[in-house]
Amino acid sequence: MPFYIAVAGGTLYRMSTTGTATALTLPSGVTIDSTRVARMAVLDRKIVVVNAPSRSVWIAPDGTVRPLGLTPPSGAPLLSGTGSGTLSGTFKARQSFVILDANTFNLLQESPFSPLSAAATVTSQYLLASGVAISPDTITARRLYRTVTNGSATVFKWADLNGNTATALADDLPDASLSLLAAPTELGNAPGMQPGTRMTLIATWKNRLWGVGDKDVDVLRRSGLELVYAWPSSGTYAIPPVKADQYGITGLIPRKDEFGICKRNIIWKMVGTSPDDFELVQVRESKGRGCYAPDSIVVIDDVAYFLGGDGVYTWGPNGIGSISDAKVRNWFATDTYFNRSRYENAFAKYNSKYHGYELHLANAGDSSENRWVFYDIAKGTWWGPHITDAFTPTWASEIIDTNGVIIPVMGSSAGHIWQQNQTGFTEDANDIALDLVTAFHSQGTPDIEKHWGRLSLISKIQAAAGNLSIAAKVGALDAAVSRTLSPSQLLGREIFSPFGRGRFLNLAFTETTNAQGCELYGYEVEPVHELGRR
Amino acid sequence: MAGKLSVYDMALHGVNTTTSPVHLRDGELTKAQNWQTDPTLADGCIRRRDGMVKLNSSALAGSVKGFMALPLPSEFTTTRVFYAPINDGTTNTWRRSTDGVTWTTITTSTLQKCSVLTHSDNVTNAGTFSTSIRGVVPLASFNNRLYFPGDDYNSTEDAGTDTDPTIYEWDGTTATKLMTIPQSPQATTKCSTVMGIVPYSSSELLISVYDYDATPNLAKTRVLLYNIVTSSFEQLGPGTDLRGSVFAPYVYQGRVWICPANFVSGYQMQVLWIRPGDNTWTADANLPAVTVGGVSMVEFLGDLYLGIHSSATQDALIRKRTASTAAWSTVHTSDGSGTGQFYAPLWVSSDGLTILAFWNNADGSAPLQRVLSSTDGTTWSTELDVVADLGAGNGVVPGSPFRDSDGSDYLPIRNSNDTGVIKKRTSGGTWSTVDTINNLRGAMMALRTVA
Repeated sequence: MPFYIAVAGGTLYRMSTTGTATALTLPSGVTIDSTRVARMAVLDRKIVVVNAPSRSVWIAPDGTVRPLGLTPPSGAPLLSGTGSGTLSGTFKARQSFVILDANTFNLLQESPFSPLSAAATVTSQYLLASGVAISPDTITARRLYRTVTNGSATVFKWADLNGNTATALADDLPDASLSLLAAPTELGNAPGMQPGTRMTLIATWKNRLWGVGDKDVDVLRRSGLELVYAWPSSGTYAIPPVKADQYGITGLIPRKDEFGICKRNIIWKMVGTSPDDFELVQVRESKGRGCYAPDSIVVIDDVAYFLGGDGVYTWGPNGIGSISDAKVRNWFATDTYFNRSRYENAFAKYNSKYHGYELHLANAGDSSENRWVFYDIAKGTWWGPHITDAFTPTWASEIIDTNGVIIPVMGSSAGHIWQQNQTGFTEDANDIALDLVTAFHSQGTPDIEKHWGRLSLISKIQAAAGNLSIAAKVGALDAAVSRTLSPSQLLGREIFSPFGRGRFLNLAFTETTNAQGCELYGYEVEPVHELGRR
Repeated sequence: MAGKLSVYDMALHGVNTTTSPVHLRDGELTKAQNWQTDPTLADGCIRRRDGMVKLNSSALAGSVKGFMALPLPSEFTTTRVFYAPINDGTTNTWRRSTDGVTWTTITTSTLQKCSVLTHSDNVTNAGTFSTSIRGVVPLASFNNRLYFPGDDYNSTEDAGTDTDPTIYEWDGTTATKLMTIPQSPQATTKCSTVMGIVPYSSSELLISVYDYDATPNLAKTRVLLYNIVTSSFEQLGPGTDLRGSVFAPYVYQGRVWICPANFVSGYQMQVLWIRPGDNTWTADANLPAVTVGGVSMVEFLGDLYLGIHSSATQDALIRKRTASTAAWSTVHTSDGSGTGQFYAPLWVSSDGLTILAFWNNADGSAPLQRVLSSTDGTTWSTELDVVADLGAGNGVVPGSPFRDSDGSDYLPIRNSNDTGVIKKRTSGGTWSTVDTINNLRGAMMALRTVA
């Protein structure tokens, strides 16, 4: 049965498919900033939440919430010889903090290593590790690593000192019984894993997490393979241009075989399959094109859709390009429609039922993302801007219902998750206000006066007449409304008397009937006569 | 000439705010608030967009700032059901409870019978009390499955042809036989019984088995590592001919530790450890005397504690291996004498602050059977008088405790007259009887399944 994770009002929730929400207990000292969006990623059945928590966290399948990174040991253990044992030679050691599954002893999490200890020489003794650090986090054991006899720096798993109380362990495990594999090489912490920094962006790609911190905004970090807690320092990539603006990396795009790293004016991509062959490449033709809104990025069929500074772009196997310039560039490149100063807050989702990209933006002059537009991927058409009177959208995502059906959803400022694509044409007793404006019809002769005949409207027959209204302008482009029609939606076809004389005809349809559809098949105006002598 | 305006292609064009009004095509729109196309039902038309309904009727604490759907099985809500097998020769049933308070009996028609102790009664041939404490051997429950030894085999002590012991998996609905325990290459007879099943990783079980070998009259033991994903298993330390019988392997410091009991062989028992892949077991320490053996282990405050059974000449003990010195010391000694004493099981409370031990001191100071507790591993006090519940006697059999997720512990106890109780210890240390039932097998476990 699927489930959901939600963040609202400074609380982290898990939510059932029926909408029952239960607050999850945060680790000690971790709080959630209710003004920040919570960005999430999934790896190895672990849900990682960043940006909103004061310290990034991960959620185990059973709902346990843990810090994404454990505080590293403050110092190395002290080595010496004790008692009578079987070890002779010189040794060095490191330690880490670990969380082991209580039932299965599986390693759930491991902190970065301590420094390498000073060497200790023992002769037919146990090797004593004392001063083993105590973790400030909730852990289950301290893991000790040591060199082989007379080894230099490479350490191998030695033993676990269970609990978080004892500070010494003596052992004479022979070299041959040390773990066959050297100690893990991908341990490390990233921004947000300790208090004082935040990881602002996160994504999953090639079975690794990729993230960006708030202090070094030009630097991309990656985790170890299938490890949410291990972020090696070797997995650090500075994305050019460095320190060129205050925004740094503005979006992460996990496509099938390419991982996009967006800035506001350029896009880079990571290619390869492992740290050995990961390579940064500038996306061709991306110069001057970038992403302004991290949460506007949606990947659909290996094509990424995102909001740039002047429109919506796609980046896919065929390259990068604008999908808004041709028809709605002034939606995004002017201040007429949307509040461009809030572009960084825009968010988007995929509406799979209608195969469209839905982008939420703030209306011009407004300070919340209270409008959204729809891009029909199949037809390449734009629709909207849409609005709802029921709530103010604050987030967009999708749910998976009990049948496995994916449904787009919006989060609201009032703390509700709203499911889209629902029947009934209503939203909590609010109507869905329709507003449509047609082209200025001119019959291809904009300079010629015409007689506009009778309007014949073809629509779907509804249960009630509704309040569909058609405001007609006949005349020049600045003509005022000359006539308002009130078609009944009970008829299916309705003919009105002629509009009259003018160079253009323009129609505006509005309808506000609650809980009823309104469906137009088309309209005709006949006859249309050109007037005057030719 | 009269013309005609026909606009039936609005769905094909959508909004165009870029083109000048003069150049717009007839089907293009300059605004389409709350209009959509409908490729699923009426492609070509435009209509009012679909509505929305709330998923959660109760509002969250504030503005929604993050949301993610996960196509993963939710383990947030699980159902926990207790199971305690009954060692009744006629019915072979299980006790079951969903709340730890109300217990019912279920029959083997819904759940395979758990192995009874009579398959290996000859363990008692040496005059010890092995049968009486066999109940402490654990069953395993993890990954939403319960693992237990089946009763569908014949040992050398049963009538009929010997067959191999079995391991079953129970998911709350179906019992599935996972494997049979093959005969040990170091024994001349088939395996007698499964002693204990302990999780080792998310996909592996440690299974200790008893290979009583009648010909040389030796108790032998093996520890197998069984992979429940690949259905494969390996014998840990096949290069070591282990004597005695391992009640419960224990994972400590990242290694598998054992200390076999010593009921038949009269052998110098040792504490041993191994890592999977090693050919032999490594001896950590000898026990204080020949003929005594280990019956329970637990880690407490970073140190390893070992419960030891007595012999005719050596009292039972609790021994501690101090992590900082790797040295063993005695932290509690039975005040009875002769055989019959033991400290088992040992377990630690959920908060990790109290170690508990079932102590049978046989003929020492009263109460003869009790549960001890200690918060430092040095000073021990009586926390539960078992005699008050079931009367005194070496036949008072402790079971394996189950530590519940709410911090409470459940401990089945059975008397030699077959009466028995399941005791509950709250996280605060208060004991109560939650079930009174005859013939408890001793083991107990809870199956946790996704609700």
